[in-house]
Amino acid sequence: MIYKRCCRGFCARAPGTADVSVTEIFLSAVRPYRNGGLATATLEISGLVKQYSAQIRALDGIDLRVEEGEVFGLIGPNGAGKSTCIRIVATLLAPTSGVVLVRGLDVTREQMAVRKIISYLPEEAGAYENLSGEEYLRFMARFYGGDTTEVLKRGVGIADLGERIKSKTKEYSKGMKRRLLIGRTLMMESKLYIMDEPTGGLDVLHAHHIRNMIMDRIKQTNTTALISSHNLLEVEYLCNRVAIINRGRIACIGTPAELKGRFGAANLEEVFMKVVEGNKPIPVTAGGGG
Amino acid sequence: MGPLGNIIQKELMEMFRDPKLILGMVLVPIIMFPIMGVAMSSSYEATQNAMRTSGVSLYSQDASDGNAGYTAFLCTYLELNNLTVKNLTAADTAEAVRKATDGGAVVLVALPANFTENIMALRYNTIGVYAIFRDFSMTEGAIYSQVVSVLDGFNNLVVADRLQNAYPNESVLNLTFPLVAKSESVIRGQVHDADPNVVGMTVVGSAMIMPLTLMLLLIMAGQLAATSVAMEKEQKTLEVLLSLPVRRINILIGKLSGVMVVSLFATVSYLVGFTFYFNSMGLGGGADLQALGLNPEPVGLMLLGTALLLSFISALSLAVLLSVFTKDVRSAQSLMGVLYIPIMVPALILMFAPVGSLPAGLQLVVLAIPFSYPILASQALYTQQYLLVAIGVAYQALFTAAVLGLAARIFSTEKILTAKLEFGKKKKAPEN
Repeated sequence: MIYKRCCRGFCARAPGTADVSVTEIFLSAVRPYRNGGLATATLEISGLVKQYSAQIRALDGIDLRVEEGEVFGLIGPNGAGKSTCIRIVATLLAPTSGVVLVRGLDVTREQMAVRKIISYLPEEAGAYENLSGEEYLRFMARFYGGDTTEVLKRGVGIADLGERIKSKTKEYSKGMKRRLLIGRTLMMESKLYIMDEPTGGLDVLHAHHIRNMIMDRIKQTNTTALISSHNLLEVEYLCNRVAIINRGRIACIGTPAELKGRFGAANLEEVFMKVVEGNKPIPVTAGGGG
Repeated sequence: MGPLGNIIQKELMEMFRDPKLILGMVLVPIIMFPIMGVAMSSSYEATQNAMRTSGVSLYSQDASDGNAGYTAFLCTYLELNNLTVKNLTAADTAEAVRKATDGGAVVLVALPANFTENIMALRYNTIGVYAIFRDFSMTEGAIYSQVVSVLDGFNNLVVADRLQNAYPNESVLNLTFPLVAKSESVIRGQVHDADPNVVGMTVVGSAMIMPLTLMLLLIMAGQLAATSVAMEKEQKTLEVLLSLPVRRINILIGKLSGVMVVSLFATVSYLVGFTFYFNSMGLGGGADLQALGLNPEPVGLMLLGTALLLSFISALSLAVLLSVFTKDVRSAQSLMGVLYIPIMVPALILMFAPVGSLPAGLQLVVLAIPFSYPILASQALYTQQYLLVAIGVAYQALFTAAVLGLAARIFSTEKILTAKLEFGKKKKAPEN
């Protein structure tokens, strides 16, 4: 695959499948940015493909750019490739081809460096049942070095579980567990928070509380977040920009207002329905798509 | 605290706070085996008591000489051998059997009409010994065996009496025992005044404890290691752990170390439990090994320790490797069954036969299995034949390095999240 340089990084993917090393092209392109000469995007994804088997192609050429301070939402139907994309950014899965950079660091070649600056919350996450909430947070904080006490204090504050933070996590309700995990994710001073369905499966009260926790923390730190969610109201509330991903490709990308305007929709749900069900042409006009 | 220390601490906290695990691996052996030992020895004592209290019915048709004859002597001799004898009167043997059965006797001894007369005339007697089965217990068998053994003793006494009458000037000992065995044990060229049976029992007892303990511990530690990774999958903690800035090899070593610490406690618990069990069963032997020069040598202990450590690391790494391909604790435990075969086969074989006595094919199989060497090393403590064990330990080290390397390699790839063994099922794509 070949990519064309433009003033914003990369233009839309050119047709054709010439056998050119995307990694080399991309790295040579971003090298000036990594040296501090130009502003660096927090997340840059280019030509990302993930093939699980001959029949299963989860991602089919994703291009994306998330700027520092942005809260970026990834939405799409089940099986669209959101979680695969997020897991690749979180260094858990290796791309079949393409490049993913977090603050200029390659997630495949510089995994440890990337892991130090990200904080990831999977869709289905649990905590160690025989540890208390506080012990769990301390265990996690120690991996990042620095002042563990301060980080732990912040995590306890974000989770906001009161005295129950000292109870074993197996005694927690689902909502409490999720609050603990959000506390764990947000307590680190990471450059990129990656959250897959942060409020998935929670009741309205807990979901509301967690959304506020995320919003407060992001406002406080002016950090960057990549959030995947099926809850479009949540995405609209939290995210500056949104990409709809369908069948392993970015179907459209823009701010919620832009997308609503472009599709003549009252809300993101209508945009989603029009894009996914109506087989609308893919209007890639903004963001990392070039 | 470094990342490795952090992981080890977490693993230990998780395991030591799991009551099921501590109960199963540490408390049960130290409680269960002594209870089993006490139960077995109580059962043995009960058998002995039953022999003393359960009746042997004696039906004698011998009317020749009343109490002065051999019938009375046999009766007394049975009683002297801890058997309770009840004399029966009956019209015939069939009635005697019926009466003995109704009367609760375990064995009926029926003597013919001319019992004493035959003995006096140097003719043999055919006597009936009827074992009366009710509950088919070991006690019934033991009482029957005791009666037969007393009858043998009776024969010897009668023969001794005849010889004494024929040679009145010779001692009974000289007449009845042309040879008397004075057994001694030769160990490493030194003659020791020790009963070979006792020495054998002591060494065999110790040699049995090691394979048994090792077999159980490797199985349980393997289960624990496999569960430890599978639990991360089941509790959905693995993805977060893998996204942290910690080397995957540290996660693997941390898990193995945690399991090994718990296994160490379990080892002590099992050894204490087994020793108590074997001693209470009278299988401990009781020979003074130090006096017999059978004290373990430092080189033997070093080989044993190394072989044990390598066995643990390789078994645990194999278990972790297998667990990577499972999605939850249940499937991990099921898949662990694959590991039972190489662990159990050498333990069961070497418990009863030294490797040198096995057919060539079986010898090769035993020597090819790395888990054989701790057992061979424990046997070498007494035989002091270290060469085979030393070669085996080197082989074990290579095997362990290969397995650990493979586990570390798989741990550092996405296979730890995506690999699944599904027998007969169509492969499913990971959730997008």
